[in-house]
Amino acid sequence: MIILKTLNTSVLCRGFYTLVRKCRWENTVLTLGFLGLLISFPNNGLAEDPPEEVEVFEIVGGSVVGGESYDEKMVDEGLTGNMTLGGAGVALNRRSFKFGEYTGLDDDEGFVVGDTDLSYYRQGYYMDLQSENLGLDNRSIRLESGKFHDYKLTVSFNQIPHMLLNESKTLYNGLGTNNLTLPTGFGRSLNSSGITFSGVKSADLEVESRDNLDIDFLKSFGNNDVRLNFKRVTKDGIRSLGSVFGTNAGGGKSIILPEAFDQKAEEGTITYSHNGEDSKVQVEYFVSLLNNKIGSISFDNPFQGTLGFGAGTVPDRGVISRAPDNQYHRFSLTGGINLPKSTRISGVIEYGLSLQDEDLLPFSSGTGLSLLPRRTADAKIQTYHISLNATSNPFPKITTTSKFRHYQTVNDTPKTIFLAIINDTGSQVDSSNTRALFNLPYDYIQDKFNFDVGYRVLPSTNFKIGYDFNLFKRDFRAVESTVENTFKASLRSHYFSWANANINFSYGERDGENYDAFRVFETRHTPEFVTPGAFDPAPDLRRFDIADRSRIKLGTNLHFAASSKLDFGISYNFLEDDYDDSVLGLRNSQNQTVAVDANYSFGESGVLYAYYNYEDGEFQQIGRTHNPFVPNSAFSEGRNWEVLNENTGNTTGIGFNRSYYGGQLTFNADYSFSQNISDFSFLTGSSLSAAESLPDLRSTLHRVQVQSEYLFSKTVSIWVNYLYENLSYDDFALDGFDPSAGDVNNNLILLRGNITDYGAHVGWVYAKYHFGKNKS
Amino acid sequence: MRYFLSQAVLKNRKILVSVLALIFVLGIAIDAFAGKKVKWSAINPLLKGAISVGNSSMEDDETECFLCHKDYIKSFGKTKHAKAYIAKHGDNKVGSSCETCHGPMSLHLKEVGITGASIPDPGIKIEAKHVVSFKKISPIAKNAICLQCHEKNSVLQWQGSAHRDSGISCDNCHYVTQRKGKRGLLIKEDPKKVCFQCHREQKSKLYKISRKPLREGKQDCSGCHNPHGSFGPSLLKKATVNETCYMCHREKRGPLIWEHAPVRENCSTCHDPHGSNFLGMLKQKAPFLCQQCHMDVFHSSSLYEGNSLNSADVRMIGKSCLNCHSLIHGSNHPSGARFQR
Repeated sequence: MIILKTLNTSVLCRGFYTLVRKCRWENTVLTLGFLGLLISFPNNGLAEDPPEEVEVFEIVGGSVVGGESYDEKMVDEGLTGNMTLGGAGVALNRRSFKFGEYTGLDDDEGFVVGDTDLSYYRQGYYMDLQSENLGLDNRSIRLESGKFHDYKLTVSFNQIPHMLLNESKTLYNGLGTNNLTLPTGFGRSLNSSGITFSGVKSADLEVESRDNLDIDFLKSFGNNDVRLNFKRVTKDGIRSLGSVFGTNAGGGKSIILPEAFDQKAEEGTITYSHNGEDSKVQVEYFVSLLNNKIGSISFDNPFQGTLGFGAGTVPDRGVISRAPDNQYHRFSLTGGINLPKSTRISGVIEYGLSLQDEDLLPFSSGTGLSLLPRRTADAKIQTYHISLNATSNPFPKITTTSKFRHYQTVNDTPKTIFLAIINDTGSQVDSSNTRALFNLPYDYIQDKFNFDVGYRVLPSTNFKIGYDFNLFKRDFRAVESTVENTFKASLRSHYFSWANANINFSYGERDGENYDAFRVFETRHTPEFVTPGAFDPAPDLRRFDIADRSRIKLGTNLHFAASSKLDFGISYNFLEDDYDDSVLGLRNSQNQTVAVDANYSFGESGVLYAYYNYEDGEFQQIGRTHNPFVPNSAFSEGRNWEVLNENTGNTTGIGFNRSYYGGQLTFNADYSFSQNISDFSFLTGSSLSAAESLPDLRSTLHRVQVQSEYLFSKTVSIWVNYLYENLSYDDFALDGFDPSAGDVNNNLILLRGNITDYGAHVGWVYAKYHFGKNKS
Repeated sequence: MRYFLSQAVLKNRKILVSVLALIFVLGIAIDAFAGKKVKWSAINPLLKGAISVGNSSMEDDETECFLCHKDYIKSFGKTKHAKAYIAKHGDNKVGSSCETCHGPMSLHLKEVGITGASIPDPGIKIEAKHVVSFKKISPIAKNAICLQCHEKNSVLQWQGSAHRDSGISCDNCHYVTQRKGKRGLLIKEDPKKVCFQCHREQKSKLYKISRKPLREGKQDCSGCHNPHGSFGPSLLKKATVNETCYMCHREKRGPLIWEHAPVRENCSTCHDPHGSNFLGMLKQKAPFLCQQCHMDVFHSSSLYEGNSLNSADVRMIGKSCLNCHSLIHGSNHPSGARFQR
């Protein structure tokens, strides 16, 4: 407690200290943790004993031994590595962003193949140059140079495109800007069926560029290092974004916008590390500044007229907000110490600060800023993180691990009432209206403690049991706190040199204090609006992230070398979450995977391999259709419905690598197949109509890859590679809906295409030049 | 904004002062209690009494290892490890480099017959016992040797980490003597294949319709996880799931006026970052994902099924709930209480 009182001088630890002082069981847990630390001290591990007096025998001296001269050097100086140059081409049966999702290869085209992997070393100084995909949009280049044990400078540039959808459409002019306008003379209508779609244009959705520049400098001063890092990330392109008019009640009108985005983030890190022989301290400051150049998007409304449910007349234009500029700061202190007898204690203290103070937009495009409760966001969240870990071998066959973690957010964003403008064109509501809402600055605290004890039952065979205690406290949620107790056991063995195996099991129970959905309701709404017994969600609903839960986990892993040429491995994992106390909501989720792989060596250098993965995931959730027009419908089991979703995946692959003619010719071939199917079925209560199953959601991928390398000379090799890929994807929510038109019930202008199926052939021919004496 | 930041710093000056004080105190305390080196005789009892040949004051006294291990050392010489050793010990101090990982060599030299002016006959195979061979020692012993130099920065949390407790040794993932991977001294050219040695079930995630660019090599497991141990859950690099996600998705970190509680707490409540059969790497398809938590009056409590699809219900097709509630990660718009603006 003296230690804790010392820590209490800091606001950083106030929440932690208060928690310990107020909660008896947390106190017990903490005490157990420190007991764990204490029993960690005695040990007979691998640390050095005091120097022993030993007889020093005569050591061979001089560079001449037995009359022979040894002028060998351990390290060859000069340039080593390789450089690649060549060409490649793609042939697609149709344009597909999915094929080129992260390469930019979306259509028939050729590209340059250029890679380098070069190293230069001389007298302690070195330089590495690595570059990949220089002819593609996902190129990267990295240069590292320095002097060992002195300094190191690394500069890297990395591009990652993200092609999203290539069959989307838009009605708007101004694509790529924050001002989307409809063509002159555009015929608006209340329903999408009344709108003329003749002016529809293509709108490719993609992250056109995401460029990462990273500069890192490290300087060592004996046992002390100072590291400076600067990072700049720019990202721009067009995505799709839903937007809606008629936000008061049902009957809203939605249109999918082509959302332009253009962001730049700059980050800096300064780190000081003290690396003593067995003690390390690291102090770090990190800052990240995000500049989003498109803070909002204004757009014309293709709908016109008066909506039902008293929503009123829709406006001519809408404004939707995008991510605001923000900044994040983090200070951290990390340390670790190896105490006598193989005990290690390490810990971290972190303080984070997230800030966002952008000017707020008006409630609607037609209203002024004077109606706002405040002009800027004034949003701030502080985070506190303290972790303490201790490991040891208190007795020859026993290992212990104790961990404590405290993580806390302090959301200082003001809680303010926002009086909405009904449907953008109406008047501002008063405080008794359902749309008079407080923003809720969510917060949570996590305190977690783990204690594991391992016992070596046989050489290289350990049995371990453990206990986890996990406490969450949350503001503005239906449950104020949850506690999860988890018991774990595992057995792992490397007893036989030809096999290793492990099995682990855990069972956890999460219990929350009384679930009270009304708690959120009355905090979010005004006292003038709230009436006893009122609710938003059905009272029997339990949100699964805070609901009572029992969790079972089982995992096994076996790796087995049947002979010097054949080895195989198998894994099985099972995870089940049961929400037995939840009448409505997610009731059960279950996942299991089986994975098998095998490798067989043949000839002098051949390897044949194969693998198979099977996955099965199941969700069961129950809902209840209710509304105020059907009395007591929120409590009527006859209005229940149930969704059963099963996701199965089968992935398999086979391939081989083989060298011929003494390694002059190398040949690799690989085939992969993956199919994932999601099946949805439904049950409905007696008061509801019978439900119809949905079509399966299905993806199937075939992939064949062949690589061959011919060693033309000692320094030059020629590569010829080929890839065939075929993808088909069915998604009931997108298939069969024309992105050039609205849907049949007139409330949505979709304009968003589905993923394009494709068949793609890619061929590469390139030469690789190897520097240095030998190929590397 | 600058004024806002300065206010925040001023309000929290006590925290900053306390952190600085802790740094100072901990730094001194840790140095005062510093431990010791690897105990070689605990790894191999036959090394009891062995001393380092690097202790000799004679110049050029360390070419002995070349006598028997020339090929091995030449191969090792191509690695960054070797260059770092040489830079530290000098090009003629091969022995010191070898001893860093294989223990003091004096007894080994004696057992193979390198004493005085004699050298062993290269044709005679000698079973070396007085040396630490990585083929014969436990994972913990291997790791202890590597941690002599590497227990810092990202490896600070190795001891007590899940991988260490699973009996993993450094050479399960990293090469020492023969260059295999481009970076990180990994034993595979493709970093993710190192992880797939044990995490076989993750391999199939590469082929999901919604995935990260691991197949293209633009990202690997270590982008999010620190396999050497961390203070975060599931060996994540940062303290929480969200802080890890914010490393790339900075626009999601806010803070915002209208926050979505589970989004603020844990991105993986809705997303499977390893890959999914549902777009957006979601764990479940909307509207069913949303309806696991949302069951308000009218439309959010209604069942959406085959008949809804046939009538092209706006909540069923396209982006489903996100056709309207598009700012589901939170909104900064005064009218964004329902994440529509």
